[in-house]
Amino acid sequence: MKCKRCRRAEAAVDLPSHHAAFCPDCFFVFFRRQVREGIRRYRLLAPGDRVLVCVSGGKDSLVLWDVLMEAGYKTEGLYIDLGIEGYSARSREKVAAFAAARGKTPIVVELAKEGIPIPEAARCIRMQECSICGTVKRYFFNKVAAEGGFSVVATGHNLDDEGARLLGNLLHWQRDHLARQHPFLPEAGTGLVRKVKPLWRITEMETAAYGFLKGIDYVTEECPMSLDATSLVYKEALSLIEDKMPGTRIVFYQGFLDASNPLRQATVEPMADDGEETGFGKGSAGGVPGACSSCGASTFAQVCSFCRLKERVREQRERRREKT
Amino acid sequence: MEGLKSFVDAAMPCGPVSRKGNFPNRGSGAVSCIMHPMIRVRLPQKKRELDVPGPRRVMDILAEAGVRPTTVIVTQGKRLLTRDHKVEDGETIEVISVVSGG
Repeated sequence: MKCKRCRRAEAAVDLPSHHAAFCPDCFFVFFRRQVREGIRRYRLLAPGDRVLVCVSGGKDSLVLWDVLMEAGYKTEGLYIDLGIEGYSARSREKVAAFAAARGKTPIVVELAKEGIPIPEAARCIRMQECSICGTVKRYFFNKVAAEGGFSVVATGHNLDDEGARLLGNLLHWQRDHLARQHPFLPEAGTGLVRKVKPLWRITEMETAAYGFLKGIDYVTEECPMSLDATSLVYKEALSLIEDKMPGTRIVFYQGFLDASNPLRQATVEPMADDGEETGFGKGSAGGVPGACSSCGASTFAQVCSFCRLKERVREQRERRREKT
Repeated sequence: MEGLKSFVDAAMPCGPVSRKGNFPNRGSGAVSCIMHPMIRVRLPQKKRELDVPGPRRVMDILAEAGVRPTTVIVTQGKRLLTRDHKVEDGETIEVISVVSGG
């Protein structure tokens, strides 16, 4: 199969959803255009932004960092070491090697040092690992961004992630979640930093292909905590449909984002974030939230969700210690 | 030689063969089994390997392995393979899952 763009070289990536196939060089052009279009459509980033890219060592986040650097954005990487035996060390190595090759040093937060490594925390308070992980990550995204003077946080969520999330939200009619699902979550006056998802138009297969062709060494193993994640069921369902009807996924998500979508108009609100948020740095201008009595972060409760979580883990840990 | 090959092919109709080597005629003594090379398909994340007879297109190999095309990339050394790429006997390909959870 020949490349549909240059019509000379042999194609390396075929994309039925775009009725296209590209050689490596033309695929890079296509990929960067898709990211640029994703950023332009919702003004995710401005040229002067300082971007904190959240990297896990997986393909999406490393590819995102690579593409943003190439596009000339001022970026730094944030790696959160979740404290998962073996997996965290291996993914951290990938991030360090990727950054070093580009003259960067990632900012690292170690949850073990913060007193809340994910596996132990989940065991202590009998909560889903992914749920704890989400709360903890959001906390540190805001904290590191505020302390480091970053104007925006970028994550590597792709079209498959967002499509699966949308399907899950629709199946359960999660109106509040639907209202907050968007590639652009604006900065809130409470010190919540703007969050963007520049890869929202790009599939997992495309980021994997880009990473492979660019020689980006990413961690291919799955997070052992996420093997039973419900999002995988929704992804599976969507990929089944996508195989039969290429292009369905982008139509599904893009149609949801369309401002004329009645569902969107019915649910749209100023979007804070994916869950209860904790913000840093700017106080509570324009909102009810005050400062967390424990850590000082802006929160809608007296104590922020992160500090509450941490306290529950600490209590359970002590109880266990007393028993033994 | 050609006659011998066709005899072996007839005696050992090779469907996909697992890495452990579950050959239908092994140990029966009926056929002195001469292996002709097949396509080696590696699925590293599933810690699985299988051999399929070639030549065969990538999309057919994926179907045989029970893998949906939108969930993987298929590589051969430093090359990415498209779905219609024909793989020959004796070649090795890797099927890498692209699905991330969480």
